Amino acid sequence: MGVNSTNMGNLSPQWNGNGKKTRSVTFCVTEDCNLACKYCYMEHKNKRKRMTFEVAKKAVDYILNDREEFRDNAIVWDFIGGEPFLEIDLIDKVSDYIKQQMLILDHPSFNNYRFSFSTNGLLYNTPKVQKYIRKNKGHISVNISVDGNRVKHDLQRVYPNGKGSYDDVVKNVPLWMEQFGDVQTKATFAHDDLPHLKDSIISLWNLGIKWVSANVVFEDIWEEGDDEIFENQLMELADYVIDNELWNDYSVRFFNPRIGFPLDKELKKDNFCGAGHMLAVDCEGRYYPCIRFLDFTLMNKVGLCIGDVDHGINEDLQRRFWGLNLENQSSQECINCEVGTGCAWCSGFNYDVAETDTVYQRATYLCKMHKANVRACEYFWQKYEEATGKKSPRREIREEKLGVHYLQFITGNSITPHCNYRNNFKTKESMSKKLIEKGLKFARDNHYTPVFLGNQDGNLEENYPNNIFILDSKDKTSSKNNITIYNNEVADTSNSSDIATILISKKNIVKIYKFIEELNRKKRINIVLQDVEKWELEDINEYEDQLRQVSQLVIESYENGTYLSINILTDRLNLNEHYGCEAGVNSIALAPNGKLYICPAFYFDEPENNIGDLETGIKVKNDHLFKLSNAPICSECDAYHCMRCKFLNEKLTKEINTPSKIQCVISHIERNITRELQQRLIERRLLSSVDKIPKIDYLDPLEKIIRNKKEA
Amino acid sequence: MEKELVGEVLEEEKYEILRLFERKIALEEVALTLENEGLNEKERDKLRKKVEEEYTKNKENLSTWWREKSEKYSWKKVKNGVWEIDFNTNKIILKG
Ligand code: SF4
Ligand code: SF4
Ligand code: SF4
Repeated sequence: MGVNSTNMGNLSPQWNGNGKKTRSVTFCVTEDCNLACKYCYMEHKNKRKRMTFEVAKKAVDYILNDREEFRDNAIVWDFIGGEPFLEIDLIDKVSDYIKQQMLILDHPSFNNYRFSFSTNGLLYNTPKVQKYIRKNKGHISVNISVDGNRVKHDLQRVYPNGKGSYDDVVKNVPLWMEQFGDVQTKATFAHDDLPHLKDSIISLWNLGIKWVSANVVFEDIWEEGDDEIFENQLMELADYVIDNELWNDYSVRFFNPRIGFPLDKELKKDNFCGAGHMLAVDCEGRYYPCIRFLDFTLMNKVGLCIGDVDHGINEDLQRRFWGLNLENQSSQECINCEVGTGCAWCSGFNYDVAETDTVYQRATYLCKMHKANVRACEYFWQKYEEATGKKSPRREIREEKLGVHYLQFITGNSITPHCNYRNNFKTKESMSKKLIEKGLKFARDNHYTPVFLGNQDGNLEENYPNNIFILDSKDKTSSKNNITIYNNEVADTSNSSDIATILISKKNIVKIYKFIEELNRKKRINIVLQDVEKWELEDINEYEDQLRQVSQLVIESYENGTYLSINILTDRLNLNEHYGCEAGVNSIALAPNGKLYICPAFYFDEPENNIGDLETGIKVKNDHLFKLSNAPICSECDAYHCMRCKFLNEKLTKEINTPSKIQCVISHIERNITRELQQRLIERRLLSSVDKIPKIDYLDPLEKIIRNKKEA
Repeated sequence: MEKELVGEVLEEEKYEILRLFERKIALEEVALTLENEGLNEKERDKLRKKVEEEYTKNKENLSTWWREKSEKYSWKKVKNGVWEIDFNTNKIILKG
């Protein structure tokens, strides 16, 4: 699968401070507004309060002169209201003062600053605003709020007399786009306007606003069934995007491919919003951690003031924000949420509705809405893959975060095995086309990457291109990504795939060096040892001998820069924790009988031993035994490259988490020869001397465990 | 006008010239405030002098950047041609 370059779900590229750390400073220049939007968070807007130049000047002086407190070398000067353009004369004067002072003081932000505006757009085309924009053209960003289509916009964004403002705003959009190119707007959805969501986003795109940073409100207003309406609207929007192939040029944040994954360690230590790292100044010159902590934006609490223009910032009052992170303000449910990424909050709103005057209590009224968003997002990206045949960014992110999960299709009972198992089936039964299709759907729905074992006489690769195939060397393949299996002979090396698996039976141990030498040009060679349970001392000795010879090939490849990679010899060089087989965890197998297995070995050994099917899903009993921490011998072992084959474990010791002696001995011989190889590579300066493999005096870690127990 | 891709600079090198470029615009935009009422004669003269000096210095810094980088990377040149940088891709384009 190739990867498409798509903008869908992203926000428009934001100014990044020209590579410098950026501080945002917000001036609330007026609490007045020429609209009376119904959902406006500014609860107590009024016509009285306006900022004076003197107040703004004091704030600018403080910010530019106190380099201890304001160390950032890039600044976004944000002007907000009410409606900021009502105060364009003041803004002009303040902006000029900022520019002059930055220059006079040789402030580093003179090279890196922006004047930023969030406006309802009604005054955008007035001569004064236009003059200001021309004067500061190289340093301005403007965000005009268009809330959707006319119905939706006029439901919310109304004049004080109740009349909608849509027409008056939209007539300024072409000028805005002409001046700022690819613009972005923010559309906010609440209970009443959810049914207009799809049409609203499409309408914004049709206006030419390609980037829509849409969201739903944080407030406790959601009613029973709202999540379903939301999800349906988003799914209809997804269909529209797919039908019209809009994914490259248009974007709405609801389809952000990053949302809806479990939280990793870093995210848990992060705060979603930047409160405390920004500064807001109200009309009277009081400082706040962000605009959402100002008095007139809160419903229940008084503003969380942290200082003023006459006294500066009271650091003690700001301290609470420095330690604020996801983990310490969220419930266990949110910390462990399976779909927690992208679930948003606003620290100002949290503060307003918290039971005490704290910022450490996260409000979660939008929980079900976020989950609905994630389901619809998932739906969109699946449709995207079906429509384009390409790997979606969402899949990329999933694989990065959660690892790749494989569904292996055992396409017939006569396939050449690719791992520690024998195919003793006498039948030629093949997987039906219907089952393959069903399996592919299951893979898509459950985020598995399909891997085909066998090619059904060359038909499958043609019918299902762009997938991974593991094929016998006698099957022709044209893809470098496929894996070729050489079954105890290397007859034809012309195969184009880069990865070779060589099956070695007991009688062919003696040929290991020869086979590897013949396949030396492959990027990767995997050796699979068959019937290890029958190995005797002389086999072990022969194996050791062969590995020593292969080591020489590896050294030569390091000398000539081709770096031969062989599972049994070079993997351990680069590992410092167990790698191990992921069967039953990150990969499962689908057999021609429609059943699912931990891996093909379990199917070929005993078809009854399945773990479910495509209809009822996967049920692995006692899957805690798959974890390394529950494998008592392996968890004490440092043969990190060892496959820890669950199938052989179960077959030879009857416990899936316990290896037999011969498995351990073989892996330790590999480990020890790798150690010799490492020493030789270091001596020749072909490898750095970090992470040296230690010398040990056992071939079976159980010996060490028993010894330690006795000593204890 | 012919356009040809002739090279690429490092991310930090891109930011060096981006900041110089932004400084140039900032100086032009601060120059527009020199006639403001808020300034007295002395302040106005001082500020004008600073704008002019900084503008000259910045122009030199911009030329130095182009000279040093073109030498470092040996970019192709043609008579009457000019190099341009694409700030999104860090690529250098020759226009001639
Ligand atoms: S609010 Fe709900 S969806 Fe969001 S993180 Fe918490 S549990 Fe998950
Ligand atoms: S060598 Fe033995 S103990 Fe070590 S990982 Fe392999 S199977 Fe487990
Ligand atoms: S359990 Fe793992 S190592 Fe063993 S045969 Fe299955 S896939 Fe291979």
